[in-house]
Amino acid sequence: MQKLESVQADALQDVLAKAVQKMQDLGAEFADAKSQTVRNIGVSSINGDLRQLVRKSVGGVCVRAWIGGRWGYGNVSSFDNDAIMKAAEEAVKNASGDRKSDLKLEPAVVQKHMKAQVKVHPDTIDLDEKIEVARTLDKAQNIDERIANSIGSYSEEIKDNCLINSAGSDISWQEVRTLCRAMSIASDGTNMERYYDGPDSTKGFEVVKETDLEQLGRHTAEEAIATLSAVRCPSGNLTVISDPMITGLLAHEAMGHASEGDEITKKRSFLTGIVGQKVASDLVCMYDNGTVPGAHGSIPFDDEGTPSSCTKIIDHGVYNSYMHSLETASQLGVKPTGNGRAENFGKRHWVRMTNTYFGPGDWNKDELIADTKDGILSDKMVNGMEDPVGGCFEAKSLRGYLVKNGEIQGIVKSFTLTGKSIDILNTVDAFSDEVILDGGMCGKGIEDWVRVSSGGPYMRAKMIVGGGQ
Amino acid sequence: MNGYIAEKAMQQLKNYDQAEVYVSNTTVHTIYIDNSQISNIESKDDLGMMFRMTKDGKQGKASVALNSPEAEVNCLEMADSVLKYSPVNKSLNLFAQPEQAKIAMPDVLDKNVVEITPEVLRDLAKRVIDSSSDCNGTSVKIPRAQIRVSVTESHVMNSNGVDAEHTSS
Repeated sequence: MQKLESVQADALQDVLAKAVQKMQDLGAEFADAKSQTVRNIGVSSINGDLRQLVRKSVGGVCVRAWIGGRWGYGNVSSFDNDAIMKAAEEAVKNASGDRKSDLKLEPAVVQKHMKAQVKVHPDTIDLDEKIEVARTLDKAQNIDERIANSIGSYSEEIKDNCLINSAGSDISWQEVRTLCRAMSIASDGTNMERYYDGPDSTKGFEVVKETDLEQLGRHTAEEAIATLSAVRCPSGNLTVISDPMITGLLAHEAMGHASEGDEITKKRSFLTGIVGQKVASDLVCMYDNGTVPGAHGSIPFDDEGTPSSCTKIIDHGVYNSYMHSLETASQLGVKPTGNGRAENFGKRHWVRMTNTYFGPGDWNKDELIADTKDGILSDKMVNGMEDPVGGCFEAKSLRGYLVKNGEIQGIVKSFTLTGKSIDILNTVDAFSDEVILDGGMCGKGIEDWVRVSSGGPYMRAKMIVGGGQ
Repeated sequence: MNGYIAEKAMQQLKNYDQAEVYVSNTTVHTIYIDNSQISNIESKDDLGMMFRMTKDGKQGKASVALNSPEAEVNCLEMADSVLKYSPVNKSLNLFAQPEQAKIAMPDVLDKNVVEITPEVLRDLAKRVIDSSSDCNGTSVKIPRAQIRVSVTESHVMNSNGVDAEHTSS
């Protein structure tokens, strides 16, 4: 006997197929229909109190019609047949009008139905246990009276997707993301500093089970207290060993956004027309890779049904490839790369990154430090800013260390890093041998947040440091 | 429509000290300009609800998109589970009284917006593009822009007797 859930999924796929057929009958040159439900749980415990418990569930359908080089969208927060058919009519109407171009889309044709590759599905865990994760992370930070605030959090997101298009694709897949984090704020009455840590993933609750929560909470508290003794960082054009988070910011914000196909077709990116040219030292390889097992930005398919892939953006210093959606791939006469992503069923599809990182080198991290005469080692990031037009790198490191004659000599306060991205990449003379990714959210314009990660190895290069000294 | 959904939902909340239901539906039209050309036009219908209730000084709250017959049941279950973990606050007396709901609301409904269709937006976008293509003899390309209009109808009903609806644009 068929399960009720699968009967409902089959029925929904039939409705999506009908919507696609209807859009074609009304004149769509290409059409797709995607249903999605997104369920979230978020828990945070602050200073020993359960401060937030959020449970949310949204879902609906996005139908798109492509006519004359333009998309028409119909979105509805309903799985009702009539509502979806009405949205299909609206999508065709919205795409109609003056032809913008005769561009034809060339989607991959895929028929695949996938479950999330998780060991312990969050749906099988009681809410009590999830709340206890946040409480434990919070409580474990209570090690010293200088901890002014302790924050423990747990969050999960489960996305169920189903997509049918007029090229013959029929796909369904689930994405599961589980995260937990500890953040400590320490104060000695004069200074106030913070530190955070915690795993993120496209894995299940095993991420929590494999983490020593007590140790994680204690560690963030100890590091926040240690940062209270930090001194101001030197300023100038200095040798910097960027940690994987800051290396990742350079990959994502400076080079990644400027490598998104829509920025290229608009000739808005400083990397427009640069394929085949030398942009970095020979050591530099950079990737956007949505297939990294368990990484926060990994996706089996993008929101247009294109299988995720690994795009080599920079190959040993030579610019190699941009990232694409169906539309930008057709505009530039290349294959889509699986980067057509949307925040959810109600949002526009853009060219978006997945996991963006620099490839590893062959230095051991300790050897890299030992080989550095005079420099700064960064430790975690506060934020970074995109600049696809100007090509500048702007980032703020949470803290760092002074490196003198191959030895770490002291901790420094938060500092800024900047410079022309290409100038920085041309000065890279060493990468460590391990790539670490850090998950987060990426917006485009003023909205449209998608889950990504960025990272890389420890990287040594020249950067402009603003440290207050 | 929203009032009917709210009234039906309130019937499920009789076992709480106080209860409130909020239902809203929004119609959104957006037009996107990329590189001085209209690239996308979107029409979107959203319908969602929120439950909020108190019992023994605890508060529960949850919201869902009303996309299936089960959504309302799920919302109530989620709100009830949040209530279970809520800290106790004996002075909790959150929900509005009917006289508060009668306070004049600001006029935030522009009927012209209600009438706007994607076709009207298309004309507006063309005018924006044309005006930028000749700025005192200089052509300016618009890399990215959007025009969005939305109309939201909302209905709130609670166990103190509040029964109010509102439309905004």
